[in-house]
Amino acid sequence: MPAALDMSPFSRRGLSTLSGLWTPLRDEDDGDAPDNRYVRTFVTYSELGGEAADEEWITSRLQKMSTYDCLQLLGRLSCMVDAAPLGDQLQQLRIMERLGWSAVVRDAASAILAGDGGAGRSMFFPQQLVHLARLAVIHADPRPMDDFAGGALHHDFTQCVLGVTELLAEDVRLDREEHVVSFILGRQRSTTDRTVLRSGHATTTSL
Amino acid sequence: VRVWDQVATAEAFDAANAFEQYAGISLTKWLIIGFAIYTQFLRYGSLNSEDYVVVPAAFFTATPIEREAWEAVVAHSAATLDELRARVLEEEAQMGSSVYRCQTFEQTPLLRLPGESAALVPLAVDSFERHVTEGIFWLLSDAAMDAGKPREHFTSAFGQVFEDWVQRAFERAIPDVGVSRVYRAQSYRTRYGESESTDVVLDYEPDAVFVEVVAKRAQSATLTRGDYATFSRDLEAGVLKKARQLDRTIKDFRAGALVLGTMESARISTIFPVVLAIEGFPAMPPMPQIIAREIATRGLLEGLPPVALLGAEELAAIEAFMEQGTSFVELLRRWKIESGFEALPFANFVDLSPDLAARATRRSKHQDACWRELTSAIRGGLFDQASSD
Repeated sequence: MPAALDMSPFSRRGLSTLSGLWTPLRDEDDGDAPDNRYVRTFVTYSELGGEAADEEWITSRLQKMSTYDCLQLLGRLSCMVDAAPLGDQLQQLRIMERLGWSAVVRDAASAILAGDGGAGRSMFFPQQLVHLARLAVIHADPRPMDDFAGGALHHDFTQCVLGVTELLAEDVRLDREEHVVSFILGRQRSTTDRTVLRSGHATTTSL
Repeated sequence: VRVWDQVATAEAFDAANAFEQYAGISLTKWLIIGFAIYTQFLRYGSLNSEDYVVVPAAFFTATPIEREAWEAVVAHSAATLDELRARVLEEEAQMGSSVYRCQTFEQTPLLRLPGESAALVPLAVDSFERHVTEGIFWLLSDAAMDAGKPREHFTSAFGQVFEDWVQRAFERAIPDVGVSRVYRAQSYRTRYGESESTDVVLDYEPDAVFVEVVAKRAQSATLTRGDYATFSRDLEAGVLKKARQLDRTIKDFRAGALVLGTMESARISTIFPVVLAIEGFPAMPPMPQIIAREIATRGLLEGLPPVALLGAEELAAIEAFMEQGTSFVELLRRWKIESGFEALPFANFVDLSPDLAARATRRSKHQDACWRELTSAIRGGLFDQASSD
């Protein structure tokens, strides 16, 4: 599991936005518990059976890939993430199928999404894609597209998409206001900023 | 688009002209082209198309959009890989690393692929969506600085447009009943000189609602890094400044210095303070508690219900409730006094109130009409030049 993130003061009182605060799931969390009704969780690589991943683990893989390949695939993912509510189970399964991910990965993901507490969890979300795109821009190889070295690196990139979730866990000192504020600001702005719009509230056309 | 065109102030037109001069395209066309590209991405995302790459020269061929127009959007929205890498590294050097938003992607959300077609790939579709809408604000800031003016010179017009939008929402929902119940900002005299009243005051005798509107945007470091220091400055310049204005106006109203039509202070028992921000607030607790504490520390809004922090999207949802016969003040009373959820965002309060949750709608009728008008304007701009301006 990623570094523990103690969200209990929030989750205990149902304190989060309707659009959800997306955090990694901890071992002891029960995603269906009423107390957690607004704290939604994304699926981490380690939950899918992946090995521990840190930034170096990600960047060492990205360095072998064409940046253009990475950004094109992330662009496609971003289109699909933006076209449905976060946590839409059907869309997440469609995404994996459309990208041609292996049955092993899809089955593991399906088992989590369909399992206890899996409803509303997210395999794909903006913060994950933006952070991987940022790392790809900085670290991947700027050579022309070559379809992930003729397909040889497809699996590595899938690992990066899933593995980057391991970089998003944060140790938040709940007794330090600046830590909590920074965490809330960052999470709400980077992960869920627009989801209120899709979860039952009107949009604005002020311009 | 409609509201902007109807706000006949020199500043608003100044800003519109500045945008056109700086971006090389009118605000309307900027939105039309931006939404057209965004729609392409959504079509791919919703499995209605296999095209996620936009080749502008081909994409706009069948439309009356001129080459100069889409080139202007591309110039302000796309970058090559080399440019992106340099900008991301510069961003990290200036603001530190982050696992949250990427400011570079917010400013240039499209990757321009090498080759003659100059095809465009989205780096982050949500960034592109914000770039097309909120990004206008940043472009105007850049335009002001390029012209040697203060950063806020042109963007201040957004405040007027948003203020007008808010006022109209309440005027639609609370029509006159022989006397006005919605009061716009007005000048009045105090013993210290001329003063300006709150942006909107609603007479719900025996209650009243005083609304201050915030159009000021948070700084990049707040938005992309969750930076506590810049957040504190944003709070001071935004919410706390508005809390001071609310406090002053409410005290002047109570003291009789501010007279609002037939609304008499003696008949008003509870005044609800509201701060309405164009982009809303990161309202996850403990943010409301921190803001309430800062307001209390400054001795502001004492003896009143907790200040309600709302965004434009929430106002639109509130307007829908008002269309159904639930008044704004009833919502505020339940949320801020009776529910026990006063520290939760408005959306959560609604979700936790079964009768409200059952009636919550995606858009008010007015918002539906606005959305239809906007999409119609976009279609008109793409397929019929005459209706795009």
